[in-house]
Amino acid sequence: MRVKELMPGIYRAGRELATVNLTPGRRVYGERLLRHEGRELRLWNPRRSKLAAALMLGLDKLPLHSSSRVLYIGAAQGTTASHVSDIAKEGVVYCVEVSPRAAHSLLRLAEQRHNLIPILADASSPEEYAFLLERVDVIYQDVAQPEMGEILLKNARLFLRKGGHVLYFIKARSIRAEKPERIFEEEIERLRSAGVRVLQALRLEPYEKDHMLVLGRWQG
Amino acid sequence: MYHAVRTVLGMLVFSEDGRLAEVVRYEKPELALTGGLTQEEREVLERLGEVRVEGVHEFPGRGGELFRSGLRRVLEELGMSEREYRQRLHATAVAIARLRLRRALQSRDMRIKQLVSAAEELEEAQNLLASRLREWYFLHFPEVAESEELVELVVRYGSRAEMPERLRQAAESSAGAELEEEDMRVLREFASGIAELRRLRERVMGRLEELMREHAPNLSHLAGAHIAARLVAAAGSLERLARMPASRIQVLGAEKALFRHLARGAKPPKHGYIYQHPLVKGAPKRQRGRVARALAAKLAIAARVDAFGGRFVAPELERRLRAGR
Repeated sequence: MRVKELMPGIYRAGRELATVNLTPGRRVYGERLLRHEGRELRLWNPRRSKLAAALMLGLDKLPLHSSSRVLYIGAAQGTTASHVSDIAKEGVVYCVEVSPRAAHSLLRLAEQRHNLIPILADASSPEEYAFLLERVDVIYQDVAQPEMGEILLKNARLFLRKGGHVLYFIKARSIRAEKPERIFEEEIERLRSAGVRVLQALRLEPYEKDHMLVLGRWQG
Repeated sequence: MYHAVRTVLGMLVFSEDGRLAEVVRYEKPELALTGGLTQEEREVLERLGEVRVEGVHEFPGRGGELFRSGLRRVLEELGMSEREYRQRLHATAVAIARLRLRRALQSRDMRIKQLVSAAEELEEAQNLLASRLREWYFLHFPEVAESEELVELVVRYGSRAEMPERLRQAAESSAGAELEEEDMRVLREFASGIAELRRLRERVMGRLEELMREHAPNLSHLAGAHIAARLVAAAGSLERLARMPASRIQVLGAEKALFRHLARGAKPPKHGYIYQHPLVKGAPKRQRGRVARALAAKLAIAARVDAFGGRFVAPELERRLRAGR
């Protein structure tokens, strides 16, 4: 299989994506492991992870590197968060999740990964976890609340450094039962008027229905 | 004026010029950070006089801003490496998440949700298996297959020939086929399984009712424990239910109709779970919307009293509801 590095820490193995396993020998969600030049790669499934889907669909500038500080809102069981933690291996990934059920898996993952900080809290109330945070370089958000846009901006104002990036997954269905295009437009406008420069907007079909990823830069 | 922030390193107090003036270290940061101010913190605040602590006096606060944007400088002043800080942070965050997880799992709302789902699923299972029993028993004794008490009959008597007096005649002239003995044994056990599910469901409902009467006496009195429990489960918790407007409570459980209304302008639903309430169900059709709205209004009050107050006001609410006020 041909393996090449697409971006720092992100590999292409044949037709699949992969990251370098931070915890060699361990799987997170049943993904395949692969040896490559003395390192272990974890295959990254675009059907399980929206970030992998976005990379498959042409997200060209991923603002993550080995020492990134990331606030990850809506980490769920930590499937995607584990790959982010692979990439930001010398940085830190603050993972906020509100559901106790999901947070349990996240907690177990955090016990194995020194750069993954588990936070069981509601992201619409950042005062519940501000004492654990610092300025971050990236906010990654994938939640299903209708007020997801407000949640993102609230957290950005508090925690995102000027010039930092947002990776905002818009799930149109969770906002309103209306034409997704209209909702996407509204959300992009919301970001713009709050001081985000939109760099790329990407529909996630065929992997996810009525989803969009917006990559933006925080002008502060 | 000082600005302070509570962190995994302890409470950091900054002076007006942004320099670190004081540090109150914690023995167990996970406990200090999930509880109120410690004795030592209070003493320091008293001694310093004017201090604004983030999360206590203000949010966000200048103390928090100073810490978050100047983490590296703060660590330098404390003589701590970033690595050490991250280790401390990781250990504390894991401990806090564990504490919060335990607290969340302990909540009565969680148990209520499980009981509500268990009752619903038992009912579904029971209906599914009962209709299978009907089809199956039809082969043998089609004349009673539609009977309401089919499960009891099969458990108690089994085959056609064993049926009580009142069914004797039907049995003798039955168009049904003979079943082999072994088939009949399996069939009877299948029926006992259904009866067992029914008993189990009653047990679950009984426990649910007990919990609801303790947890939300007003709501349970007004709505009946089962509807009350469904409302709590649908809202996620009693507190979230209490924060909902009455109009939302009115249509909880009718999400499909609600979204059909919002998306395509179909008629809005008049009631969700509260349709099962005798007042709503018993009202003449054209009055139902009005009754549902009035009931939902009182349920909203009852939920708020249960979540935040505690006095037993349900009889008064009920009186006013019936009087149409």
